[in-house]
Amino acid sequence: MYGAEVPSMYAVEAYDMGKKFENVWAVKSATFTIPRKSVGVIAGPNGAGKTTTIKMLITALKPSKGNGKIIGFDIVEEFREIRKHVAYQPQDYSMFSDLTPEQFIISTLMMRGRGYVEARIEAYRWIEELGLIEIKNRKGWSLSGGERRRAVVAATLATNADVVFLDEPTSGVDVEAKYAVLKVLRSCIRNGSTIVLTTHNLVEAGLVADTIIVIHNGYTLFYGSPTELMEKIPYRYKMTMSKPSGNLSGIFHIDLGDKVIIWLKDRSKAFAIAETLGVNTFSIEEVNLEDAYLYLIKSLGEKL
Amino acid sequence: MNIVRKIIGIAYKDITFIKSQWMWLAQSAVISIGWMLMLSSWGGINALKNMVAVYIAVSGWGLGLNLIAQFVGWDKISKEWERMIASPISLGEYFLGVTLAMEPYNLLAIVISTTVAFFIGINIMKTLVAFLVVNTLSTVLGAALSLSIILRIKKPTNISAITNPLQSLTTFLPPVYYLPSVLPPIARDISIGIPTVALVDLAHYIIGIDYYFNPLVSTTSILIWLIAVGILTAKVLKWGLE
Repeated sequence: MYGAEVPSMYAVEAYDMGKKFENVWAVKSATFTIPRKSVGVIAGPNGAGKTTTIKMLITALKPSKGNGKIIGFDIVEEFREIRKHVAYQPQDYSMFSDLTPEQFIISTLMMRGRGYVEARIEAYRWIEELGLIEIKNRKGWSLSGGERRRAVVAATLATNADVVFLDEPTSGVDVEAKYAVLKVLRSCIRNGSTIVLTTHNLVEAGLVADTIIVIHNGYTLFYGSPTELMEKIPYRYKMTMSKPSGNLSGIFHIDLGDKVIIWLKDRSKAFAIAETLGVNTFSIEEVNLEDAYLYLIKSLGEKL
Repeated sequence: MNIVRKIIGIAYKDITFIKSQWMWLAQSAVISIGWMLMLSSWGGINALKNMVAVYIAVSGWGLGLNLIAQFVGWDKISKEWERMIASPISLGEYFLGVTLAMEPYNLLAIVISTTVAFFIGINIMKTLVAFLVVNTLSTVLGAALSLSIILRIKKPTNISAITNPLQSLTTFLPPVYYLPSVLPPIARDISIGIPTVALVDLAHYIIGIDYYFNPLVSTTSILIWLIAVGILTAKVLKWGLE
């Protein structure tokens, strides 16, 4: 390797990346890495800065501070090189309503320099993968929102780009189709791609992610594996109950209006808490990624 | 080869829309033929000759100002623009693709203008040269003018509400369909500063019929407009890294 640059082990790198629109910082500091051939999920509440972060990485937006790299190329200095290696599905993007899913995938591939015959063969493969055979020749306007979304995901993945960015690819997609999409995403990384997606659904993120990045209020609160995210929450159980009349101060809880969720370190304390609060019925279960995410947002996010 | 495929790929997407809205094309043909018939009955051969020159310039102007700008504006609103930025497509390839998709309109204009030119004794070669020069300039100038306005609007949800009046203002009011000689002397000289007037007068000159302004003056007016709207558009037309 003497004299040659060692390729970066990361597909995506962001270092203190920020974006300011006029006087408002949409992203204040995004710092994370996503290894090659893996799935990275960017999670966070609405308006946290997920889409702006992705737009900087795909070179649509220029960072106001910090820097980022895609497979080792700088997102500002080497943007042309990056554009040869990425594909992007924007949030709420809907395919042209006069195109059929097949035509849409073919046009996407031809735009990227593939010949018609090659594009058609590749389109068919992805139509099959995403379960679009029955609707492949139907015009976009006659498809449901979920079907259109799957066609767009198919077109984006069919590009075989090294790094594929999908902004909420499963929103509006039914449960069965959602799992089909997630399965295809995992198969893509086995074929050498890196997938970066955004979602609000932490359960979905836990199923598919190798790296989870939690963005809140423009800051990266966490990045690491789902297991590492679970380790962030010092509680192991959560009890759900009707909102008690007793005082909840000093108990880490989430207020759902007429119900509350209380997190516990030890399952055995549940009965004692219920007795203190004067509650007779409650349910108890192990915490999951969503709780870890909520805990992170509540404990760290509110300090920002 | 790769560049050609990319351009065809962009055109493939947009031409599907044109194909599904073929009534627009039919409407355009009906209006054009109607104009020719109306002018030949009221104004005779001279009016028809003028109409060939007008048609060469105005068809390109409308294509650029209205249709291309609307497609580009729509691509921005629908986020197609961002999808293309995150790909190997360059801005030039994108515009060539969109323009290529609009070629059915240009083909229609070529067929109508050369057919009329043939029947009224205008040189076909000169007509085709005028088409190549003036129609291309009109398309580029119209698109650039429209984009320089549309891309400055933060929420361009109703693009045709801007481009349609702009097209009427630049084609029906100034001496485009009529001759500058009917205007008062001062207005005549000022009118060459309007791009459509200069484009039509240049078309008159190229196809070999009576023209009003010195072709150098018309060309200068067109070039000044090209530079001005080119600068204005370049300031707002960013292909990523905004």
